[in-house]
Parts: sequence; structure tokens; C-alpha cells
Amino acid sequence: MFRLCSDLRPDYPVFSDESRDFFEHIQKLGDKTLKYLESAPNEILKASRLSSTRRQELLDLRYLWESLHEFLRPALDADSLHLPNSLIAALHDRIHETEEWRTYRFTLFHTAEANYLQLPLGMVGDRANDIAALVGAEQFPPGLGHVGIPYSQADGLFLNCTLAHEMAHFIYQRDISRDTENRIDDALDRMVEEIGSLDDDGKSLCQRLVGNWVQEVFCDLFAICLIGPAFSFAFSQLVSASMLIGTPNGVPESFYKFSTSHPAEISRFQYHRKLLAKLGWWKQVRNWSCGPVQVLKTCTQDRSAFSLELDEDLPEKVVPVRLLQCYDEVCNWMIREVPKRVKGCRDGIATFEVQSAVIAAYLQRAIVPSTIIMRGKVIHPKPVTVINAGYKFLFENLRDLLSSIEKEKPDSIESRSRLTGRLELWILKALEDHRLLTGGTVEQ
Amino acid sequence: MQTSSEYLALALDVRKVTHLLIRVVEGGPVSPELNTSIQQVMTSLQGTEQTSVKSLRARGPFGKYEGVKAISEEFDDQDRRQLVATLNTVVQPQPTAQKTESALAAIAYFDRLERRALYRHNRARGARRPILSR
Repeated sequence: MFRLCSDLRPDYPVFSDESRDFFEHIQKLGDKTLKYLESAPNEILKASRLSSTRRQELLDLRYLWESLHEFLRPALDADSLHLPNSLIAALHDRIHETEEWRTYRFTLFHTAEANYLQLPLGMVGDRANDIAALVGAEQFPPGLGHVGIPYSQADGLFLNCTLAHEMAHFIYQRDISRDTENRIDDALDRMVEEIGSLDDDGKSLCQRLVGNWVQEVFCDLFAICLIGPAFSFAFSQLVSASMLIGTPNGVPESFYKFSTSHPAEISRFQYHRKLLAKLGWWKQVRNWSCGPVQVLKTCTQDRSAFSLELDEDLPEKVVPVRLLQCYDEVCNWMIREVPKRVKGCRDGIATFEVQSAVIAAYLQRAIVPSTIIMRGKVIHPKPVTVINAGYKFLFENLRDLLSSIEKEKPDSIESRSRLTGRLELWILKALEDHRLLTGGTVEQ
Repeated sequence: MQTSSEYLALALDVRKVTHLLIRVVEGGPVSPELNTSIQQVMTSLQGTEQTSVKSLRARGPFGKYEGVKAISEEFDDQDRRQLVATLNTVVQPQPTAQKTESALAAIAYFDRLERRALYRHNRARGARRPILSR
């Protein structure tokens, strides 16, 4: 593992500074661990009555390194040629608009799963620091988060908008969790008071369940504040939410199930719609004739069919509906609070309103919309505007574009898929150009 | 549950307490940090239905779901009583020799808890926090 990091060439493959920092840290940690292991036998033999517990420490060290082992190779696979760098940079820039998060950075790694994920602080940074504490090494770079992206999505844009949600987990775990946990505890204490009493196992289980669900919704809301409805559309595509529309025999039950780790998708969409309406995005998108908007409309109607499918049984005294009420209380509070924390969450709406039609006209001619002319003025549309305008074009204008291209068939999945790929490249290029032209966070 | 890393974190938190107890065995004082950890463990061992949900967090790692589970899996009522008595001896004024023996006895209990956490970590390994549960 150490050699993988120390043998990296400085010129190729090219990694982000964040990834380089990560690899460098692993290498240093490895050197210190080797030194620690050299001295371990003497330490263990020094006091016979403590030798057993000191030996057990080696087991900790082994598991700690195992936990890092899992993510090193995938991080090395995710060099700059295999990631949507301009989208990642745009997301960094959006996060950095909020002053308190300016030091936060993310390394990305590939995952074999067709899923996006975030490694909780406790899986990389904290574990690296645990190793450091045992072997006497320096602390992990603060503010460095780890996000997994399916290896197949290296050059995509639309689905990768869900990365905003994964980045949000890091911010939640670092900054937001305490306020939210207080709300969760208050809600649960009210529930416990109603049911009389609950043992520690039951209380901690309820706390963990609501905590997990709330964290997911927080990250959805955060992502919407960061990049607008594009996140909800990406999520809709990721979970195949079009199944919720026009299904003659009723919608699939799975969309209504709360698992141990995640809230039901229907519930998530309900909160997406609430926030989009609160921010002002909803009136921009509500008339789009596409599946993801239809999903958001459909999901507001029925809340009665929610059910829990958990790894562990709820205590008998706890009624699922009452537990979900606690979850709803906190989520409704977050609808009010999250927009206050994320700077610029309404900034993209006004520009989207006036620029999206012009951006669509550029895309219709296969022109990268990094610089557009409006009323004689040169404008470099902001990433949030371009991404959402890209989605609008995908949903509403792609067919027109296909019709205008010789040999392309508007109803062909192959043609549509090919052109969607092109559209993603144009948008990614526009994001890259925006950074070059404006320096990233400069407002236009 | 996304608990693999949480159980590893618990094992490491237990190890930190063990480190502090080792210092006592080696003749050092009971640090304020050790005192806090011991109070957290004792509250967890004596857990009652009367405590609030909020108060679980005051128990640090031992009040989290994994801490509560590991303690309830590893220690029966007799273990709990003995460990509370042992920890009391560590924190209260005692002759050095007795304090050393109590610290050593407490370390044995904490080693058990740490192994339980590592066992659970192994069982739950691979769990992460994906955007979807399926």
C-alpha cells in the first residue's frame, strides 16, 4: 500500500491536489507504522501483565489499515482522466461560496457499485487519525472528504449531479449534525414521554434510525440548495422513479419503504418539492413535460402507505407512524434551516429564467454555451444555470435536435443516448470554460 | 446498518480508555479524561429507562447505538455490577497497589468490550453510506 503511493509519478497519471494529499498522507502513515511495528515486540514484553492488552492493540492497527486498504486502489483508479473534473470543480466552487466551508475538499474514488456513496468521517479521516495516534504520526489533512462515483460515470454529467448529495454528507457530519441531533432528540423524547418509557437499546435504535433518515434528507436538501432541481432530476433517474408514473396496478411498494439506513424515496421527493417551492425553483420547472417533474407532482399526494423494513425490530412500544412523525418534524425544520446555511441557494434562479432559452438555442446548434450574447452583452452563464438549462434541454429539446440531424432518429434509444452523451460533454466543457473565464466563483 | 465503521470507532474509543488505564497501572494519575470516560461507561452500565434520549449522547461512544449494543451483548448483570465496582475503585482515593489491581481488572473488561466491537466490525464490514439503500 505504501509503495503504491510512494511510486506514483509526478507527471502521470494526473491527480487532483486533494488526491495527492491523501496519497502522501497514507505514505507517511505507512512509514510511521513500520517504525512502530519494529519497536512493538519490546513494548509488549516490557510488562507481562500488560502484554495481552498491548498485543490486542496490534489487532486494532490491522483493522484500521484494512479499512484504508479498501479505498486506496479505487482512489488511485480515479485519476483526472477518469472523473468529471469540471463538474467536481464547480461543486467545490459552490460549496466554497459559503465561508465556513472554504477549507473543505473532496477526493473521489471509483466504486464498482452502480451507486454513489460517501465514506463517513469515521471510515477514512478518523481511522487515519486513530492509526496516527497509535504510531505517533501526524493528523489527517483536515477538511478532506471522500466520495465514491461509479467507474462507468467518469465522463458523465447528469447522473453525477448526485455527487452534491454525497459531498453534503461530509458537511453534515462535520458541521450540521449537532444542531440536527438536538432536534431529533427533542422529538424522540416527546415520543418516549407519550409512550411512558423505553430502554436504552430502544432509545438508541430510534435515535440511529431517525438520525440516518434525517441525514439523507439533509443531503438532498443541501444538494438542491447547491445546484437546484438538477439534483432531484438526477436522483429521480438514479432510482428509476419514472416507475411511479402511469403504473396501472399501483406504484411499486419499494418506493414507500423506510429502510434502516434510508428514508422512502417518495418521502425524499416530497421534501425535494417542498424546498424547490420554497426557493422559487418550482415555478421554473413545474410545467416541464418530463418524468422527473411528474414524479415530484405525484409524490405530494400520498403519505399513508409508508412502511418500515428494518434490519432490527422496533421496540413494541414504538409505533412506526409516531416514529415517522419525529422524522417529519426534523425534516420540516430543515426545510427552513438548510437554505440559511448554504450561501447563494437562490442565485441561479433569476439567471436561469432569463438565460435558459438562450443556452438552449446554443445547444440546439451544438455550440458550447460558455459565452452567450444577450442584448449585446457578453455573459458567461454560471454553472448552476448551465446545468439546469442542460437538463431542460435534455427533457424538452433533445428530440428537436435529433430531428434536425441527418440520419439520427428521434425515437431511437441509441440516437438519444449518443446525443445525451454529447450534450453532457458540451455542458461539462461550459463548466470548465466558466472556471477559466471567471476564476470559478466570480459572479456574472 | 451502516455500523461497520462505527464498531471500529467504538473499539478505538475503548482502546483510548485502556491506554489511560495502562498509565494508572504504570503509576500515573487518574487523568480528567479517564475520569470522564469512566463516568460515561458507568452511566451506560447502569442504564435505566428513566434517562432521556438526549442524555444518551452525554455518554459519548458508549451511548451510541453500537456502544449500547456491544455493552448489552458482552456484559451480563453480574459483569456490569463488578465492572462498576472496579471502576469506582479506580476513580476513588485508594492505596496505589489496590488502584493498580483495579485498573488491571478494568483493562480485562475493556479488552472484552473492544474484542466484541471488533467482532461486530468484522461482521458488518462493507457497509457504507450509499445514496440508495438497494
